[in-house]
Amino acid sequence: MKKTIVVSALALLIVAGCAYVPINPPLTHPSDLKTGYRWATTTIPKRTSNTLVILTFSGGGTRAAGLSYGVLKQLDATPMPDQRKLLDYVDVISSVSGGSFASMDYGMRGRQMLADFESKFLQVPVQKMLIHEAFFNPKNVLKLLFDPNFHRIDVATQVYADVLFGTATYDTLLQQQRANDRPFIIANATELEIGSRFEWTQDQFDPICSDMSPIAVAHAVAASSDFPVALPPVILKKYDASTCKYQTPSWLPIARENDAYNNPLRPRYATELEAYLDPQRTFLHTLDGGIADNIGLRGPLHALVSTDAFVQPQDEGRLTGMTFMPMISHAPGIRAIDRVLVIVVNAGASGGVKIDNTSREPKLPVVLGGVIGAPMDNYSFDSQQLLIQTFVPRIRTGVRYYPVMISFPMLRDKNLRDIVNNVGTSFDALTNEQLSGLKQAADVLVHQDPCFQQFIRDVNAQPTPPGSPICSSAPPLP
Amino acid sequence: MDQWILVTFPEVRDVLVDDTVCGTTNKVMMVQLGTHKITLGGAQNYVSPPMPVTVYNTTQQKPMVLVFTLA
Repeated sequence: MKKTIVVSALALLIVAGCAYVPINPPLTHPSDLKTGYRWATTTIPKRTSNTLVILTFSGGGTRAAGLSYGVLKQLDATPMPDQRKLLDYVDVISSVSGGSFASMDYGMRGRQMLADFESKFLQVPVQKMLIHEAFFNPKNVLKLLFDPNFHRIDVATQVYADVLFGTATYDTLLQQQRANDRPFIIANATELEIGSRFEWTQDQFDPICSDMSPIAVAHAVAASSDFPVALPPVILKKYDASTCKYQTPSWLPIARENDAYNNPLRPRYATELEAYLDPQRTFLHTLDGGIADNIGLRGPLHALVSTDAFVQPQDEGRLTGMTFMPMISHAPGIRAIDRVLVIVVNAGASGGVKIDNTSREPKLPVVLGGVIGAPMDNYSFDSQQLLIQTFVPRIRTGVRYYPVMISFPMLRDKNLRDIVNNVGTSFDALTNEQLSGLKQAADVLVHQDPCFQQFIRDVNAQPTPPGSPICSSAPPLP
Repeated sequence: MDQWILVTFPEVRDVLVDDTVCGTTNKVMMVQLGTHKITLGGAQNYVSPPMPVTVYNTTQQKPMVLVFTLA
């Protein structure tokens, strides 16, 4: 009886305090490319390096986080001619799900992350913590039962904050970026109804007239890794476009009117933007970025081929959304790029016989895994192919392109391949063998890639020895 | 697929593609396949071809030439 009264009182207290407060506040001033966490406000467009370095980190739980971390360590061990490390040259990290833990932690803490990411995250049983906090912590259990605005994803966000991110916000991230000249971190989620990538950048938040500066980065990582069904979506409030006097970019009506058959990519992109502006849409439901693009490559790829963005350029066309075209074209007054290195870190696993060794009907989770996973994997492969197909015709443009593909099927050592392929995609703690395998895989995959080798030779002005493997988009310098 | 344009003009000016600075007059520059509004930075003392213009079937060696003249 006494217990019931206590529980009821607690429940009443919770219900009394459960008015809906969106995690994202409105943007109360006119949308302005000089404020907020976006490409234009970072130091990246103003860097002097003529080498553009883009990393993309895929989804795949701690397997992806571990491989991404391993690649960061490799870049930190790669000297450049000016005595700095290749890691210092990284301009953008576009990440998804498990990869977003590594990218966001690096964006927040820089090299300190390389020193303790293993003990703070990779070898921490985060999955168990999630289950414990959602099902066995009385405070959360009551809140989940009685507060309609408190969901399991909020528990996950709290766990990620406790483990890695604390109370850091996007304002903090921008301060860290500017103070330390760190990469621009793009945590990618998926907008469920629109079916499009949802980048956690202010350029994406402008059309919904929301200010992301005070939002905790833990929310972004939670959205980026928000596994469907197991966790509910991260819900964002969409404010009316008049709230921030949002200006539709000038390319949109032109592409909408003219390019349906010339270049369907543009009206499709226009459709996405229009969907965010639809006045009937008052909330967004964001889930794991892997649904829209599991390797985080599509955003950088778009910026490599297009100047179209969700924001109207300002400052006579020099302040823009994220686009690399003006830099590659050596536009006046803009950072000039002569080399583009894109390292795609794809932790997708392959191989193994799990159901094809029996005639028994497979269990539902296995079927669903295949139904969901196969299109994702195929799309990821197509994205990688698209990157190479974009670069190869540019061989004669004067800019050199180096697409580097880090993925397990490229491992020649079967034992190592088996070790990393068998690491799960949950947030379970990695064993020493798994962690060691992922770091070793990163080492092997980075250094065996012909385009990485060619990049290193080119930046060091070294000749290409006879018999070197070929990087098809960056043949040896004449 | 990349496309290429050459904006000719008697002066050296910024060339804006859909309001983004992408290059300079009298130099071949890369644009996205499709239809664009091409303008010049600085004073509006010029006459441009009809805009927007659809850029397709070009190469770096055979760009679409857009002749801008002083007003």
